[in-house]
Amino acid sequence: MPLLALPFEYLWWHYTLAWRDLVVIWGNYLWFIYHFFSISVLARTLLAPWKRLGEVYPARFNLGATLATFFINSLMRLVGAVIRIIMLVFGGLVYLLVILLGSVTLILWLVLPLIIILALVLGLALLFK
Amino acid sequence: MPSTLADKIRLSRLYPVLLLEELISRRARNILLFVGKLLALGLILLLAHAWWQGGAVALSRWIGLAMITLALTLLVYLIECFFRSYYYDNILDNNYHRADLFTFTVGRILFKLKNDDVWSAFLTSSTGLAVMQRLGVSYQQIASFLQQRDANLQTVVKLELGGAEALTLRRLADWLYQHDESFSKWLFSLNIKIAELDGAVEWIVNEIEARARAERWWSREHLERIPGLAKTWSYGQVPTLLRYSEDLLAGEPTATLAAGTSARRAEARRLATILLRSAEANALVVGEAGSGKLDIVWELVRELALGAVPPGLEHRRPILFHTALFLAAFRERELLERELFKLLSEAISAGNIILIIDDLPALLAGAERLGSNITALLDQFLISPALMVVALADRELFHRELETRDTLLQRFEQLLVATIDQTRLIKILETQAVDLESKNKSQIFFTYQALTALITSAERYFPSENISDQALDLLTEIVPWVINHEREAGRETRIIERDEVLTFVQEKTGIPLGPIAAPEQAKLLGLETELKKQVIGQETALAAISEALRRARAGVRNEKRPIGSFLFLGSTGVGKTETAKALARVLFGREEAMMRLDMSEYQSAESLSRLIGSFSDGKPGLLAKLLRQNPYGVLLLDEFEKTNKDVLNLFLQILDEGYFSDMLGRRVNARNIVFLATSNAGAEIIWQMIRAKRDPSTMRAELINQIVQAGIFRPELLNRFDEVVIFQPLSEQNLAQVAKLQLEKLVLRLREQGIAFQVTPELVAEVVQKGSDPLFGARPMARYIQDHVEQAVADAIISGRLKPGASATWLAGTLSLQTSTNA
Repeated sequence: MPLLALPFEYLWWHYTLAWRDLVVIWGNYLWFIYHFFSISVLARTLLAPWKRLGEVYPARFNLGATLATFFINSLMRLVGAVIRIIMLVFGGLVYLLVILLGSVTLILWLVLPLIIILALVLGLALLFK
Repeated sequence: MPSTLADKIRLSRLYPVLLLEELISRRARNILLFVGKLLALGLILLLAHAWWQGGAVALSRWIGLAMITLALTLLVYLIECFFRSYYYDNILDNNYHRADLFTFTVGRILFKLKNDDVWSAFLTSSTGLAVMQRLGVSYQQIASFLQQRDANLQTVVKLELGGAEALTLRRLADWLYQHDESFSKWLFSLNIKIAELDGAVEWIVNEIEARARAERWWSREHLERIPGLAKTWSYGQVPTLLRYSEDLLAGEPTATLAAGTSARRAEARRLATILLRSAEANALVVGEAGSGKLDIVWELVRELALGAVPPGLEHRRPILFHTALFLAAFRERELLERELFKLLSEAISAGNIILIIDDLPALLAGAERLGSNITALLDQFLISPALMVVALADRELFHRELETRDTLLQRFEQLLVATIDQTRLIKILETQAVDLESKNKSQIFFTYQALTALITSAERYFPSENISDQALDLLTEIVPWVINHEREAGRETRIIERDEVLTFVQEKTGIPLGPIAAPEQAKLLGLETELKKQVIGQETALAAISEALRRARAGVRNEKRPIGSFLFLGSTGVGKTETAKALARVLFGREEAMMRLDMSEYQSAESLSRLIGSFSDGKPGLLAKLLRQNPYGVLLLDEFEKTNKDVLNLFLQILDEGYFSDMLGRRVNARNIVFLATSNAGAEIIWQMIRAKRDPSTMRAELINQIVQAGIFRPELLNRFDEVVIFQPLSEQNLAQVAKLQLEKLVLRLREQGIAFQVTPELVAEVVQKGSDPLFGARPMARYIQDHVEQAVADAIISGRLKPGASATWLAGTLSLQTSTNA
């Protein structure tokens, strides 16, 4: 293979294998964000008590004590839900951002060879104007 | 059809990347990228400055320059991406296409091929150089080899590409070794074996892969290692448990545990499988003390941290419970039970705890000392599906404390810790060695042979069940040792080779191992002479022993047997014990290296358990204890024939295999021991033969024959000894020499007190005449000297007639005093 074929080999790679690699890496990052913010775990346990804190209901029925326990346990669930929702929203935003950045990168990748040529030509033109 | 090797390389899928690598090397690309980034930054600053100053023309020029820099930097960046894409695909994902004839690493070597001389391409490539360096071959050696080779290039065999599989670096190295005689001869002259070449190649390939893995920060494998947030929000807290425990996911070690070669992966997976059971998900890890039980747990922790575990174990929190810490906190049974109940309840309600008890037998025994049987208490928690328990137990304690508790054992699935195999161990050592090299700022460099020597030394000279631990310890210890030696010698870097390891082990153990240095060479060659100075009149016996020991030291010996084993036959007082002492002095440098067991004390039925220990009363055996405390030395077994049959059978095994098992089934190594068994059996026969003036060469076979016929030793036991050595009765002349030696010892002792004692020929003759006994050999002479000569000297000292500075001698059977001229 002569040296001249190298640019063509490159371009073939740029629009096939490289694109595939980029999609895989994008997938990796989406997977990472999803797991890093524990999105599925948080969604599944949204209403669970915060760190399993809470009271045990009295063995013998006592309206006051039962209500107090119910109130405390509900409060713990509420606290848990609020914190989890905050985390979910934040994680969701980051996830969206990665989707956005990924798509921009993929589109940019398509025109990157053109951008380089353009920047080179324009740069030279400006330099020797 | 491509015909030549060069054509095949040119048509390969990897050719563009290899060509690119040749045009702009990776190093050059990295430098260009760095410069590009710097320039871009500088230009942005200048641009800002120009814009601030005003002036449209100047500004547009700066913009032009910035755009050109940006375009060029992007170009280099894309080229780098192009390269890496193929590189990682091939190196890490091992994606070989059907048409691929070779791997990337091999491609780099073949690309440099000239005149079809693969070997010089290999040796001049960076990979080849790295391999040779790990084998301890220097650049100069390579250069001079290549120079010699150029002279007869016509002998080169051509490499044929196109087998069923892609040509890997290892296959290429093997091919070179098999097809290129000059290469294999050269390696042979450097004392490098094919297995070592393969090992070094494997090491370099692993290093290349590890480096590539670390570079690819965007890989799933890499991202997996970053711990996530909010994993424990739905699980409870365990404050009581944490008072006596440590959260293995929270501490520092987890963060530093690098992925890569792991010795305990298979066992960690088995542990995970046990923990995933729906009920009684408890594991009992049993192994020798220090055999790496906790390593298995750590491996599981690492996988937990990476999220590389089945869903059932995700978000689980491994907590290591320190039994000793817990037991130390309680003096009362009730408090201990209450606290244990509380912390176990906590662990259950938390919902995600893997409780690792570091020493279950100790916990049970400790509680028992306070009068508490916690088996029942533990049991109710062990059946709970909400708690996973991993209990660790030493094998010895397992037998003593746990084996009898059936109900408790039913709650656990047992996991036995196996020893690590060699291939895995070498990989671990390689990773560790590279780590140590970088930690010591390249002051040291390990060769492959050094690592294999470390493993064999650990196996042979530091006997324990856990060879991997021993080998790793040796690896860590040798570094400061080498650095100190180098500092004393005024050198900076040091290549650690096989010989350094052997010298280090030799210093540590006292066993001569390393290259046979001149003084030792002299000692070995002159072993007979050295022994003859200390043992009189046994030339044939000493020659036989010396020959056997030279064989051992030359590395010809079977390493799975003791260093040497000899049976000394002869009557008492002919120098058998003296030979043992002399051997200890000559071989190990000190007489104390000689251990002694009087076998006549081991005649009764319980002798065997006294030697190897008894399970019922938990007492360790004397022989087991002796060999554990002194793994290297000379063991004298006096009056060997008097012991019972069981003990003789035990020695049958020891002499044959070099080890035995004690009462708890632990191996006791005896491979670094010289066994000397003495026996009076046949003394009478020897006497008769000597009187009949029989030829000594025919004596031996006949003597052994008679001993076997008399049923004293079985033939298989006699065959186990390296040599059956016959000690002849001492002649009058020998006896005179012995008497002289013994009297000289007295002279030395008196000289320390400032008294000069002169030994006269008459005294020697008197000692021989009156002291020796044909039946007891030289032994009664010592008694005669003590009773007569020493007694007379002592009387003279006490009565004040013999003072420091005075001289004395022995004349006509009495002590004769001579007043010193200085006195």
